Amino acid sequence: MNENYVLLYGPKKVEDIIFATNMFKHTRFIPIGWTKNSKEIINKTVEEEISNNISQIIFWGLEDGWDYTIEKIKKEHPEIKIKVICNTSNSLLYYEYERRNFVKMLDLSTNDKIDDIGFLRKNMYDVYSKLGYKSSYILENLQFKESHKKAKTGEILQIGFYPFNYTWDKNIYNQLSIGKFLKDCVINYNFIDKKMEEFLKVMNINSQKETIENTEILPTAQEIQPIDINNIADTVCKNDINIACDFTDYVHTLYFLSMENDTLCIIGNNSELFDEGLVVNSEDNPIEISKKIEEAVANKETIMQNYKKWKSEYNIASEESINKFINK
Amino acid sequence: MEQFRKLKQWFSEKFQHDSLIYRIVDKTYHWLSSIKYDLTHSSSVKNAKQRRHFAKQVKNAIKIINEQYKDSEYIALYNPTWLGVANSTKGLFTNTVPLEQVFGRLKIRAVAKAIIKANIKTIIFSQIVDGWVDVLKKVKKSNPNVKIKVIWHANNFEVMSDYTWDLNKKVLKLYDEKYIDEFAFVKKSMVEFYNRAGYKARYLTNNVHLDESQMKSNKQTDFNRIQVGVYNANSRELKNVYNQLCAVKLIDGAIADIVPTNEQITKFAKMINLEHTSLPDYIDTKDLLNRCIENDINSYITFTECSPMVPLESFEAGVPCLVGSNNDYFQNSKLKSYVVVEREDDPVYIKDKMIECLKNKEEVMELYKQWKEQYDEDCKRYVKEFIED
Repeated sequence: MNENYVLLYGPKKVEDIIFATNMFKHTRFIPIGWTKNSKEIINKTVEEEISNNISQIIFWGLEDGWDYTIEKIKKEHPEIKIKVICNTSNSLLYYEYERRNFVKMLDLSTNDKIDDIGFLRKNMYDVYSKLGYKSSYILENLQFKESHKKAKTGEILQIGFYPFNYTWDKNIYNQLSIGKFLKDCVINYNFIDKKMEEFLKVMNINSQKETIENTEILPTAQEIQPIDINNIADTVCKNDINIACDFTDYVHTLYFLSMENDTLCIIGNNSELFDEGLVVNSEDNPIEISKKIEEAVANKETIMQNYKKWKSEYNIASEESINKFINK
Repeated sequence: MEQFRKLKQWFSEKFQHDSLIYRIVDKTYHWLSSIKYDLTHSSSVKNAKQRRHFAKQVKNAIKIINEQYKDSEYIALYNPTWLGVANSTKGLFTNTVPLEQVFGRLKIRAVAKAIIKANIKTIIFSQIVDGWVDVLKKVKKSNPNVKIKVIWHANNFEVMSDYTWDLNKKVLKLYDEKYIDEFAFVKKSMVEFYNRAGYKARYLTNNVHLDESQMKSNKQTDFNRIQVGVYNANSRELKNVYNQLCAVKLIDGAIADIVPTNEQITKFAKMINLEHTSLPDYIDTKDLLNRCIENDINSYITFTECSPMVPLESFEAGVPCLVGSNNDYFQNSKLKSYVVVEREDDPVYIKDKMIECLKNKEEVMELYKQWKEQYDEDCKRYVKEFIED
């Protein structure tokens, strides 16, 4: 593999930081280019890397201000390859910020300022490669050295729900509603908005709020502490099962954090990758999510065996897709 | 009020907040504020023209109640400016009364008085609009035997909206205080959720019947020139417009009809070089149906729904319509496998479903007819039980 690269990632989403720093070896943080100061930090970081004789710079997403950086690099160092990993999906383009930067990314590709776009969703790759954009498909992945699964301590079914962002796509209240459909359960949830607590109280749903440390990152951050996935795994893997039935996702954080640590995780039908025993078709239907939870808990052994078998092959395929992207 | 506010401020500085005198002044201030608000509330009514409009529509609703529904079994109030809810209510009930926001105590009293005087057994509020809570309370206080029922046209996804959640809490409180006798939801999982949460709730599901005179599509599909309608998809993130447009783009020679569109959608369509026709504004249902029947297929693949009207309108007009996996339609029918899209955020999958549906269009429409017969019966039964029980 070509080791002569650096991947630059920003503070937009916790998920981005987790996957960028775990899928790639050589990574550095840069802020979003909103201010003069942040632009200076970006330029300084890029110059430092270029002085180390790197041959390519990969950006995890295209955030505000990064387009200027890309144009500057291409102008001053045309020999350096620039690649961008797309950290959005068509479903998120409703938002002006996402759409603006997605369009910029495609424009930069059209004007040969970006040499390749890495898509984390197969269907995004299919669409935009068909439209003529230089594209690759990268298989998202997380791996752990050792399992963080904890022994079960009580009879009550522990369900974990850990969105990192309070946004529509996280389908928060339909997922919290499952507490009305499962007997003897508690929902342990990442407390990111006080309305979550209020809803659970009004609807009398048994729950426990939690906070996952070091994951409250502001998009305006100029520097960040590394996020240790082992810490997150310690929190989320005490549950019998976790849920992440989001309407759309380009990376599946809770799924990999859980499944890698012998903890089940139910997800929405928003990826081509996963076992249908864990996939909910109607994400806005808490009854269906609840049934899926019951089935998955009952079939845990088989599901985990299948996962391990699938994952060992998937790890190889993912690594190959990353190498192919870097070496292209 | 301004003088009193200054007086309250003075008290605030001079007295402890838990002192008796401060508490009396504070309570009095809030009481007077709420009276002023009740009498003159016009935060949404910016000018004289709007005030005249709101006064006129209240007068019109009272006239309808007086002239058409005296001693009736029920009436269903709906806001005519909320198109989806309006069409839903008119599709479900015969005795309907259009009523927008009711501002000010005098107007609230007038509407409540008209309802009480008309001696109607059941009052159905199709969703809750500003001012309706006070109407509802006055009616129930005046005659506790009148049944008050509220249709909540939302699912728990909408708790994200502060406005909806505040309203949600308000109506639940009204139920706890026995002003509301029963809820109805147009999504089965919501009925089950609220029943389990201790609220009496029933199931209703929307319906559409087109007049025989309204044109029915008999278009033969030209697979080199498939036309896809993408309607009412511009307003919110959950409408999933960009994936649907990408799906159309993936079909060679296909063209999209987008109503309404907006600047962002138009730019996106241009960026992906999608051939399309469009209109910038919402149009009434009749005009939309006239466009709809020109299409081979319509696409209403959203992320979350209760009982969406567009797919029913499309099928009734003779055009198959794909929907997301988020409603109670087409259960136990083979039709589901053709028209329900389980992976809403996957344009490649959507494209495949569009083509599969069109290749089996005749069977799809036949399956719809069979499904609709039973659905019509069920709808009638649900409405009858909701009104009478």
